[in-house]
Amino acid sequence: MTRLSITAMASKSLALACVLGGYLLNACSSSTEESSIEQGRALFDSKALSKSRINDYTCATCHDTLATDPPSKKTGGALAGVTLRKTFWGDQVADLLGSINACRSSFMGDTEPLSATDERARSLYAYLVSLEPGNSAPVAFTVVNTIEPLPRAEGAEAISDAENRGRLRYAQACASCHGSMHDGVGRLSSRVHILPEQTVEEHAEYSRRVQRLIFTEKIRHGLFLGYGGNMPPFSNELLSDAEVSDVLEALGVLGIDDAQ
Amino acid sequence: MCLRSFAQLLLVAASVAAVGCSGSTSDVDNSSDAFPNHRPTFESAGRRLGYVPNRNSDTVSVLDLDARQVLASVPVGRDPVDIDGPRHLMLDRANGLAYVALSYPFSITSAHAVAQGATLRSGYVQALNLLDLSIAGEQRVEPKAADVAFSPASGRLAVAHADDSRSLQGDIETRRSNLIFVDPASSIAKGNAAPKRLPACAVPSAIAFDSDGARLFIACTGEDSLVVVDSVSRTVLSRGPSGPSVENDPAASFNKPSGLVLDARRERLLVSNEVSRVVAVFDLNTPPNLLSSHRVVGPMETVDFSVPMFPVLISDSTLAIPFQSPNGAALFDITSGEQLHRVQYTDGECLNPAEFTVTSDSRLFLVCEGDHYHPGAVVEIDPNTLAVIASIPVELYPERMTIQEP
Repeated sequence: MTRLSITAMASKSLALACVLGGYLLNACSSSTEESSIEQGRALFDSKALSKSRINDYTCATCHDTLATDPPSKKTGGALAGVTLRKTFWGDQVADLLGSINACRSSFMGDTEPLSATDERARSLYAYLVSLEPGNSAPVAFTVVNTIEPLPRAEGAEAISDAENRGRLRYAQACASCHGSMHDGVGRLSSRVHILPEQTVEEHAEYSRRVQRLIFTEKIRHGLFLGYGGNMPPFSNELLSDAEVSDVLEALGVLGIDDAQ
Repeated sequence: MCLRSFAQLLLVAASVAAVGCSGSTSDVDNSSDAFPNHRPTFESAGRRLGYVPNRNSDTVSVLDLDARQVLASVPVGRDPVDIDGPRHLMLDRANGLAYVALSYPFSITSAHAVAQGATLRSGYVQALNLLDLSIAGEQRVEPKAADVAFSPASGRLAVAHADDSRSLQGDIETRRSNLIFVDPASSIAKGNAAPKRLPACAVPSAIAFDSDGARLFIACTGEDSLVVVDSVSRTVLSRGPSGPSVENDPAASFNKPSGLVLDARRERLLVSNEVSRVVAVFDLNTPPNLLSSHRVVGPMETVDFSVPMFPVLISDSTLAIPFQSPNGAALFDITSGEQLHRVQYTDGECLNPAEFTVTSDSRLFLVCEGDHYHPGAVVEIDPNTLAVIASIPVELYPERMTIQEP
């Protein structure tokens, strides 16, 4: 075999190797990507995003992946399109990973932030990208800072209507964490209050008028603004004052002291 | 290596790679960037930029002062719900950083939260990357962080805490809150800051370094004094009046300093006093000597009860003072003491004027706080007539603006 034919054969081998290698590496890359998305999906639905042993939350506790019609009452926005958004938490955070870390530290009890190179962060990001396009606009989230007494419905029929609406809102907004009213069946964990009894018991020293304010404060502020705990807040967009009042009506948190 | 051997090696490598990837479920695609940075960037590019923290919006508005427009308002702070209360921003161009004090003014909003054990929340200083204001690092300081000062010459940073919750204490030492020094300030971004404390003043409201960063001047509101601190040895060098004083007449000598700035050359100190309503001009000796004092005179030569805010020297001899209640501004010749001009602004022109700043080419800007619940503004002012030339809306409760010259 001449030197020329050896070189030609080697060149063919090289070309074959390149094609095969490229194909295999591409398949490998695609497979890795799918694997990463699957890992992200699993993380989304898992408490393992936090290393805290007392974490009760997953991302799915507070977020839908796709927007629903009518809109969900989960405290966090639907996440399809979140990778395209420029601000989060009602324009209070300017990067997605910072926003995720705020959730992890505030609600999930893990104060060690994920970095962009962390495998869990990358998987989660790959999963979130897979949900695109979705909604790329920032989600409004207006915090109700000042807690005012919420007016009740007046008249038997209006009160009955408010209770019915309140039960529906409770089922949409509260039950996924607190379980059913009065017995807590289905709640996230034994650490989550059975409503309203355990919260009333914890604040037994207060008048019922103040207890109603405390329920309102907890719904509006969650753990923030000095309250503590690990509950997320409900923004004005998610629950109007009238809807909060309906929920309190359904819970029997009426703010009427015995003397009244 | 011959070509055939290389081809064989590549085949083997490809096979190994294929086997390797099929057997693993934990590998992550490292070829794409997770969490790309979508933040706007603020390159000077010959422009004059203004940085305005918005205390009730938790943002910093970045202004192109030449184009008279807001480039972006960027969220800052640590808490996605609570008001972080950014108040004053300092530029550290040598390290590509900015420092902003977070004051947490409304961190506890209910008596119930207090009854449950909530207490004053610690302030923070965040180091931000100057290019996009992303967080480079942060340092916990003490509650009610009121002002931050930075010395480009020494690289040193100081934070004052207007902790008025201490003001009912009987003992003056107990009333004094800590000054915190971070040296170098850039260590905040590196995560290895070692803050040093000095209880220097009760309820300080504003601070500024001298030209080489060796001394720090404090408007010590709670002690009605001007305090000078050695920032290297962290000792108090002097305490003295922050304005004119009348011998043996404490009531007539009560000034209550609130604003304090150095002139552009860092040769003179300007102190605004809330009760005496006087702006005092000092030299930078220790203790500082009072050079002149100026109180705005109202129409028809009546006494004006307006409160002076952060002033500026717009020339070697011309002092511009913004004031509140009513909204307005005045010009003084500090040599003769003559009030040269006085204007009042409508709420629409400038509600609650807070701080004058002047650019290196003598353009005059005024930060207007607004009512703190609706957007404030930065307005450009004619330095001769004090008329409003242009208005740039920012966000809720701006107080101070820091200018980055090209």
